[in-house]
Amino acid sequence: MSEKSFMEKALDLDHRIIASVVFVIITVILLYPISVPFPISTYGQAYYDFVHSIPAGSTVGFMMGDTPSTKPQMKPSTVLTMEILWEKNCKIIYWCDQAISIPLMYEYIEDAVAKLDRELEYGVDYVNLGYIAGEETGQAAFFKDIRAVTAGVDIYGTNLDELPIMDEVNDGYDMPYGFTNNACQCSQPQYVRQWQMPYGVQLGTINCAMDLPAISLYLATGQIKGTAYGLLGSAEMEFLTELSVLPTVRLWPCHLQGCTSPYLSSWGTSSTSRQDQGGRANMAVTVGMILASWICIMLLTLLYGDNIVSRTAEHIYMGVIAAYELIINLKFFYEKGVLQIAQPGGTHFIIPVILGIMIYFRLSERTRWLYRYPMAILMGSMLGVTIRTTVFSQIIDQMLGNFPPIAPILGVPAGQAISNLIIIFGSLSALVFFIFSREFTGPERYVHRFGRLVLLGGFGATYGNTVSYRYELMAGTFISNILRPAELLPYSFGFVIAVAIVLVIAFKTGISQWD
Amino acid sequence: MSETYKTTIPLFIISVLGIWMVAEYFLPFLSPLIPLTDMIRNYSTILASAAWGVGTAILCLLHGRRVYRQSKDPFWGYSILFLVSFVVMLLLGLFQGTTSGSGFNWLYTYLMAPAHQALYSTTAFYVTSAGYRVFRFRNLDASVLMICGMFVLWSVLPLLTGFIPILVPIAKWINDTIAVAAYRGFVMGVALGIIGLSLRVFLHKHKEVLG
Repeated sequence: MSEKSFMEKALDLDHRIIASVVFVIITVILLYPISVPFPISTYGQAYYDFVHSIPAGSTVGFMMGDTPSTKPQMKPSTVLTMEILWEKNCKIIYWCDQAISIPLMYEYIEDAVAKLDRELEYGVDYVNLGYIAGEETGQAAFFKDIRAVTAGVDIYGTNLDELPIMDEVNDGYDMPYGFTNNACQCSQPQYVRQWQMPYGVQLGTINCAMDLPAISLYLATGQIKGTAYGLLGSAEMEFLTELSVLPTVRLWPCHLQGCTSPYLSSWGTSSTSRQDQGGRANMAVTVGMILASWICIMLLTLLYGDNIVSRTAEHIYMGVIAAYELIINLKFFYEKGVLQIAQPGGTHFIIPVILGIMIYFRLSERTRWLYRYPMAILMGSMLGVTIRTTVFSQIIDQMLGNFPPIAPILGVPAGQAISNLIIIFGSLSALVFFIFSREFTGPERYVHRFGRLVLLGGFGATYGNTVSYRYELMAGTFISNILRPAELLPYSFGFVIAVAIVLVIAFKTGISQWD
Repeated sequence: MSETYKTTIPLFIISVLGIWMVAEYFLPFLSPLIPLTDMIRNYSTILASAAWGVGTAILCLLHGRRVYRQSKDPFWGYSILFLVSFVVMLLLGLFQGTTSGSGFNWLYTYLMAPAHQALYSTTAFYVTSAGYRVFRFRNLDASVLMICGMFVLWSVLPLLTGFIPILVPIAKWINDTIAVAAYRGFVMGVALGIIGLSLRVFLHKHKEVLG
């Protein structure tokens, strides 16, 4: 049997060793950050310029779709965008399309309001319309008639007609500028389809880092005016708005990506400020922070294989999140459906309420077929609203993006002409790659091959951005849940030792298997 | 007859509603029907929220069954944890509400959100491990993937871009040219796929959608 070469041995390295090396490097860099200069990207500059180009006093729609995991990278740019808009006396209308985003929406608004020099008045300067269920169909319905979908009330149950900000806001046309804060790239096209395209909205987006390649085509066609992506976008916004305490340098604190100092202090110790609320609140916060660090440590043991500790944490998490989503969605069902039946002219809401109950007939084999009726309504409306604007936003507008003036060949510098030619032939070749119904054997196989290479290049770019995105997630987890505040570190490290002992016992006694 | 109620009518509803939604957008003479269309879209949001409960109920039934048949599943103990945490969160939401300061919100802030972060963050280790094993100059395809990936990754490393600023325009060119070309082809392909699949559903060629 031949001896393995050093390279082969290196490539066969156990993933746990790689994870350990990464873990040690990140912890050291988080504890001892270094500072390096960084250039502002054109994306960051374009986003900043877009925010500043919005006329003073405009009505702006702000869809919040952030999640706890993407909060570390998207919160700073989101809060800064709000601040800039309010400094220009803009009126902001908030809502969210994810149940999990609701507490974050409160938190971001509170943080932005607290940072301003002037007092803001709810209902005049901003309004929170809460959660809108139904994903793309829900958003289409929302932009068509805001009052119908929200049942005419905001998140606190206040009648929209009593709020001055909503005086002349009824649909998507009444919000000429918009921002979406998306945690996942699959939801950006839906806002191009349902908001930008039909209503001509000037749209800016705040995304996690891995989204950039997927939305670059919308930036190229002008369907999205600017994007702040990932932690880099947040750092650039802080630098451009001169809010960073280190205006010419950026820390390299966490991994291979970087955070700014204010970000670290504001995010990492955001819960510390809540400790001043007095006895009971103080205790609840302290216990909460210890719990947060412990659940993170338990879940991170997953890196060393599926084990008794990680499984315990996973099941607790699953139970909590399942109940959370259920409560928020049933609340929506109750408030926007059931309660509306009793309202004047709302008798017809008995139809969706009955249909909603019919969905649960799926749980019994005998009545299972009845759930097909509400699902048919859901599917029919979802497919209809999706394909009607897909034709424009994702086919026609993208084809137009391959022609002048968006992609000129003549009368431009040679470098730009070559880039545009690559875009034109590359996109068409990539499209050809998806023709599976015939084999490419003739000269056209070179088109097919070129399309494959272009797609691989695009996926490579996505990989690069994804790596930075994932490291940003990890840095946020470490800073906010394990390393901060410093006075609770003994509890975290003590728990790490306890978990290690439990795992050793579990593996030695065979209770849990080392996979 | 039962097939009519169970399959044909639901499929017919999908076709009519789907085509109606498209037609309403393109044909101005259908404007008198707009209030009705808006109403159906509004109903859809209510139905979508109700549908969440089915998934949750199935999950609870699955775990309940595991606890009930404990001898047949070695992991039934974890299902108890799931059910207990589910019930606690549910009761807090029902009786304390979802407002700031409630137990429901406390569990979100200090248990659900950190766990959400931690679970996603573990992927960083796997992405590193995968990149360590996969990225190499094996052939032209792998080389293109690796070169584009590395340049984009390097461009977001302040430690490198601070001293090698040329990385930023190179990565920007990759993002603005290669990625635009790739994703434009990809998105157009997906869009055509969505339209094709929708038409198949509308024409009752894809009955599986009913479940």
